[in-house]
Amino acid sequence: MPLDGEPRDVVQDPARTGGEICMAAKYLAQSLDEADHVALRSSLKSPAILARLDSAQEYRKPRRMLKLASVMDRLGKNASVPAATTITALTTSEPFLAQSHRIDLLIDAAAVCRPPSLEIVAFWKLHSVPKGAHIEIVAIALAKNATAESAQLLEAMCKDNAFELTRRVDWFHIYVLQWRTQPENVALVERLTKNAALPRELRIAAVESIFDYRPEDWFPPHGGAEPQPWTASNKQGRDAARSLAKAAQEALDPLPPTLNATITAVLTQLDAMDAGAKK
Amino acid sequence: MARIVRVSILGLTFQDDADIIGSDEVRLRVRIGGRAVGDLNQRFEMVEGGLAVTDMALWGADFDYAQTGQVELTAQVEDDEVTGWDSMGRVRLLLRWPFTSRSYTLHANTRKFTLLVLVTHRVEGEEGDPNWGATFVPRRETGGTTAATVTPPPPMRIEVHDCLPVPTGAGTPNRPAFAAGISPELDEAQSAVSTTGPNNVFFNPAVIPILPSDQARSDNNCSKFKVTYICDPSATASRRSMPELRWEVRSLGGQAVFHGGNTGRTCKLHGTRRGEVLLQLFHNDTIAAAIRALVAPLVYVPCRATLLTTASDTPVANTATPELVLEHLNCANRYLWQMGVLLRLETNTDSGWLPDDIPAANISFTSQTGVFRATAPESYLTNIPAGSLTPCINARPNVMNFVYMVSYAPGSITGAACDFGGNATTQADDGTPSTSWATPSGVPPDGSAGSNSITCINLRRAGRPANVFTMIIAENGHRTSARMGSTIAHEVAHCMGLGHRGKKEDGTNPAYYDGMAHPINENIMYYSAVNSKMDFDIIQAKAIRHSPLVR
Repeated sequence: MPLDGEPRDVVQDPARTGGEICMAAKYLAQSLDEADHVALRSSLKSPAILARLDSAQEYRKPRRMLKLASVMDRLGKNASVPAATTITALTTSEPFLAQSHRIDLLIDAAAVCRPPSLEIVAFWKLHSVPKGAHIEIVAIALAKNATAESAQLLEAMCKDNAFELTRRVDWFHIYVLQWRTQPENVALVERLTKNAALPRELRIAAVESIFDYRPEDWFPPHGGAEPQPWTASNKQGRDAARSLAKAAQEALDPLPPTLNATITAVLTQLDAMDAGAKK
Repeated sequence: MARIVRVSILGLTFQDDADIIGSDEVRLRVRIGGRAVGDLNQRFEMVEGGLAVTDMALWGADFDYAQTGQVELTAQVEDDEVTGWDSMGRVRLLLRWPFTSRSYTLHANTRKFTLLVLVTHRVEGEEGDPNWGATFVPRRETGGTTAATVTPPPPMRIEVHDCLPVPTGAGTPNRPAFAAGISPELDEAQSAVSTTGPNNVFFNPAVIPILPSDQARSDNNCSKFKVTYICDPSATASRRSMPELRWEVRSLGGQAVFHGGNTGRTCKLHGTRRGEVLLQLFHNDTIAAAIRALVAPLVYVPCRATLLTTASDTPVANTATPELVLEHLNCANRYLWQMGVLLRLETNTDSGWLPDDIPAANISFTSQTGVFRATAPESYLTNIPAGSLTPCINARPNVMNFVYMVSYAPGSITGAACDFGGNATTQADDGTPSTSWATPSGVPPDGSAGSNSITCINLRRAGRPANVFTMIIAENGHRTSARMGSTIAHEVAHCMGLGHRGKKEDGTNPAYYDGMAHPINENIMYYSAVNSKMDFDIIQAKAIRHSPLVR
């Protein structure tokens, strides 16, 4: 069904229905055009438009059921500079940040920004304080972002004993696992592995997240994750994994036998991939 | 006279595990046998787990049985976008002659939705036509397109299926072919779940409970059984109570007694001795059907619930009240009754296990014994990780502990089992009929029942209190108590050792499958939230009896 009007106008018109505004906003969120994002930024900073999109009652439901979630989902898949500018602008928008669900959606969408702006890093940092409500969403975004900036923040969080050890272990077994072939994530794990001041359990979990996968031991029936396959890796990621394997075998000696075996198996797979690439 | 095959769309459901983003309306584009069917202007509301029902008169197409070799059905769900309609996924089904009458459950390639399809036959022509009601069989090899008539028709068939709703799609029971125009009478649905009233609302349960000695037998605590399918070529049985049907209990080690009469389409029983029984149904002194059940003591599983809140001026909290907790437990008990277990709030008022940063003073009582409140930092309520200690707050060992929080970081869930152990590792069953009539079921035309087994589950992680059984329940303002009851029954069954019904390749979550591929959509341990999942079967009822919660 075609939209009656220009998306840039519709998205800023509080007289429109939530469905119409949502449709226009989704269109603008995936645009590469700065002018489209100017209109989108304006609307997402407007309390009237935000209330039109999703009522207070709808904010009682899980966040992914909001109309705004589909807009932020598209924004979070748009790696263009205008989209990053929109995300950055929202990190300091009081009306937008007035609702906890919207903070979560923005934390997650910001993971597409590589490298993340200083404002985005500050925003993630602000919401990664121990006992806070958004820690896990930040941890997911940092693992997904997989840049030097995000890895640095995740490393700082791992060193902070104010976070429960079980929580820090989950960051690796569930989140880093899903982006485990990314060079910056592998390098992060190597730094943690060499840090003898950290609990051995956390260092082992970090190494496991790169080389192993034991869903029955790590997850309850609902809430697990699947590992990023090594076939998705680049040469830099594979070299980082080789370096990590060596560091883990030195710093965590003796490694649990099962982990040692999976490391060997992954390295064999990586060698085969590189040998295939040379042919 | 012409024999017509009709292919219809019954409806579509949207999957809970589909990662649907946003709340939207969609349209359905369907082609059957090369023809566009239905109304492209109709909008369906995309609600997780909800069923959008179509008008079958509009959403279907007829084909001449004799002239059609195969029919291809394709369907696509589309989301409304400024730039046009965006596909949410497709399904495809190729039906080949002789077009068996049955339903199909088709999963989209994206797993975001499921399409329900029904294939039926009818004969058009004069009622005096000598071929009216005749059986059609292929004249040549399967795949041919001509047909002839044969007689006589098969005798009457009666079923008492142990799985309700009776499985559809690939799980539909094998049945002899009946003449076109003869409609079976189906009573395959399960009762609705309500927040009040007795627990024994579901028919054909896996367990006939032995009541505690201080409990008087009544209509409200008996096990109810019913005929689920009758097809009578003589059609004389239609719409009658059929007093000539007689039920008898045959001991397979266990024993049960009737509560009330033992004739007609339904009967009621109470268990008296542990073991299995075969409930046989006679029609004019001939065995017409049988259902197997486990007789076991009714077990009350002690449980407690803790409602979390923050201590701030504008507290963040799960909005459940003690009254709502009771409603949830009542609804869960309708499902659990099928296995002869019921949740009951415990009277013990001791504080349970607490993390270091939550003092015992943060726990308070509510008006309902067994329901507590606890104040905690927001990180214990909102976006909690899979390994969170939240479910252990105020938990006591060997009690089913529920913690009501706000949200779960790994995904949008209603609830999740978190700690459980000491359960069985596997469970076998080789009785007849087979559990849920897994093929071969032992019910003709199937051959003798085979042996079935399921893998059971345990999850004990380091750094957590010993011997606790826990479940978190998230804030879900849109869920009904009946839906919450279904979720709680599913998760409690995880805690008792039951995995997801299916095999690893059946779902996106790679762990915790029980290894049985049947039935999927009708068993309550199916991974996705579909409305049809209500049944616990006898192999599951046997497995949970090894759990510390039930022993």
